Amino acid sequence: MSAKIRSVLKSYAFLRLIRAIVIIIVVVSISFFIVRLMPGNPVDLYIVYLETTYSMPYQQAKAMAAAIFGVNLNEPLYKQYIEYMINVFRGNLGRSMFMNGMPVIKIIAQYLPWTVFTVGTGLLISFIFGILIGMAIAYRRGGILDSTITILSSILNSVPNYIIAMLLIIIFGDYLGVVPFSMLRGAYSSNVIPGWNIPFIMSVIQHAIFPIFTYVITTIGGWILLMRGSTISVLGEDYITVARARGLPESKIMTTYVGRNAILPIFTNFTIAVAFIFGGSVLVESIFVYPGIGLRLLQAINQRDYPVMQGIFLIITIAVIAANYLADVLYGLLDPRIRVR
Amino acid sequence: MSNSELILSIRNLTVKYRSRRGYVNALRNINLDIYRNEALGIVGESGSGKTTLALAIIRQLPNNARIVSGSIIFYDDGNKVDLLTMNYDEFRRYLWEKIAFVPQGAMNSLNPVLKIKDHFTETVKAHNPDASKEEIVRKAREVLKVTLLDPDRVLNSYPHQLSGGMKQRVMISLALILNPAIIIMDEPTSSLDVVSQKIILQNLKDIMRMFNVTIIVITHDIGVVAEVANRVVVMYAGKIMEVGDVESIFYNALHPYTQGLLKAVPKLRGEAELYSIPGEPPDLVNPPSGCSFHPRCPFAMDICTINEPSLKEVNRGHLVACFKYETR
Repeated sequence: MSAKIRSVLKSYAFLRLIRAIVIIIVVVSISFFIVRLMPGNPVDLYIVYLETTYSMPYQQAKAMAAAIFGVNLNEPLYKQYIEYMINVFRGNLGRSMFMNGMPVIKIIAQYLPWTVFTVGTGLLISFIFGILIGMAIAYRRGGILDSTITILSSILNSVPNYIIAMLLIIIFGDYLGVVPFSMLRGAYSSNVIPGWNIPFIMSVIQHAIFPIFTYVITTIGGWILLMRGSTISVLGEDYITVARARGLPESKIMTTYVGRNAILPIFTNFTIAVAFIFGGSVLVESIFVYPGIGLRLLQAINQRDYPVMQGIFLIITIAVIAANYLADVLYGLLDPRIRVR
Repeated sequence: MSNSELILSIRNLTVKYRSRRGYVNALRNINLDIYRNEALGIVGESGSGKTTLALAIIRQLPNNARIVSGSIIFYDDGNKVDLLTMNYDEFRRYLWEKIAFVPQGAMNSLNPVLKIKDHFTETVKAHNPDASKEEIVRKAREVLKVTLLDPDRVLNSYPHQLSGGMKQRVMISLALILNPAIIIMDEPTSSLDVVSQKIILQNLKDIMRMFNVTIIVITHDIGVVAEVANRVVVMYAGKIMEVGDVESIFYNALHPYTQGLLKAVPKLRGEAELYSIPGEPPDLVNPPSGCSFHPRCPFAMDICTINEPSLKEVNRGHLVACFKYETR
């Protein structure tokens, strides 16, 4: 084996990758056994449901349930488990118990992009502006601007996002009556053709703007407070005084010295926030009736649509683990002190 | 030394810090002349204003500090400039190029996310944007060798990969990169092991010989002063108590506070009991009336509690602020 391959196998990134995969396998296994071993096993319940509602014979109902859950009910449990795992790694997450047995992976592919778009845009906007504002007020520490924004941020940070969502609807939809929220249900209006055309893009933006605004308003306070605290502590460091004593221009000190070091501890929070993009926001999406993964998850829970629930949970888990993995690897690039050779 | 050429002349410098309890009188009416190519030691206990003095010279006082009065005249090849009144953009040119500063605990003086090499290039580029990278690295190797560091290893390291002593030496090298006229060092040896201390002190003497530089060493360790300084300033409660060359301070200390400081140094042989100056350092929000040292002074007279003694020359180049030497 060449030295290069050996060094890759020993590298931190590789070891972390192995760990991430193991965690995903454990999570998938747990979700399999929970569904199969729960009292009131949903597979059995579904068979009974098919038998009673459609007066299906038992064998047919059982075969249908097996197809829906992606398991072979005639096999012993361990064989079902192995088959299920193979299916998951092939991307086959079973089918919905409703919606004419639509494959779960298709459902996710249909709903997830809207959530990634809205929550992701909201996260980026609030992160970038939060960082800039936080840093700006840290430089003016103790001033009127600083105290005003700090108090405002604490308030915004403690208001749940569904309250803001409802307030927006009440103020703009009812009180001012300027926004027809009932027309803004869905991801885009029904009179436009999906594709790269201006009416469609405009419609998408119109439908997404209130969810995005809600996410920005409710998360920006947190970023401001974090960055403010972090910047203040970095500004007290000796290397900042020395950088000034070295005659470096203030713009350079602000970026390479203050900014870069202040953002390091916040980067971890950022990657965790990225992971939650995939979980979506169940409440905000339900309030605006925005067809994201959060809204779909809520429907699945209400319908006890286990394969869909399982599939969405799996996606969330993988996203969190992948984000943590990425955070670890990227953090090493940003901060030489925790770079592992 | 007193017949040498002046390089820095501090006049009536008074600095206060705003605090919850009121104004802290960190520096009170400081008058001090510093000469070209001398090694000046500033000694005093914590809170005596040593570091404030250094930060005032490089205009890096914290935001809650206020320079109430005074001037700091820098003699730059025949020109006199007041460092305190010139605009800051202009002053930035003087920073590091004329006056370099190595702070206390140099372990935290380097940006943790930058390599040592980048510290050198950024510093030089800030003052001379046209400098080539090769030129800077060549010069950096030179100054790193002066402090006995291995340039190949150090230049490509991050700060956390170096020991405390090495970081301190990197800072001294960095201070030399622009050939400054003055290097101010705040506690250059504190928090280092004795071997690193010895290397650094030995180094400072070589540097002075090689670089034609004025060194101001701020320390509470009177041993460091004995090792490197040729003139000594003793500070107490934001005031200068005594100034003199190193021999007169060590063998003929005039001020009772200096005498106490010298007695408080542990000796290898002799009395087992270590002397310490009785009493507590004064509260600088409400400094004692008269001479700040009178509550702790074994020779205090009535006048000491009422009037403040001013710095007077007693012997040639040996100044002291004490009424003991004024009554004649």
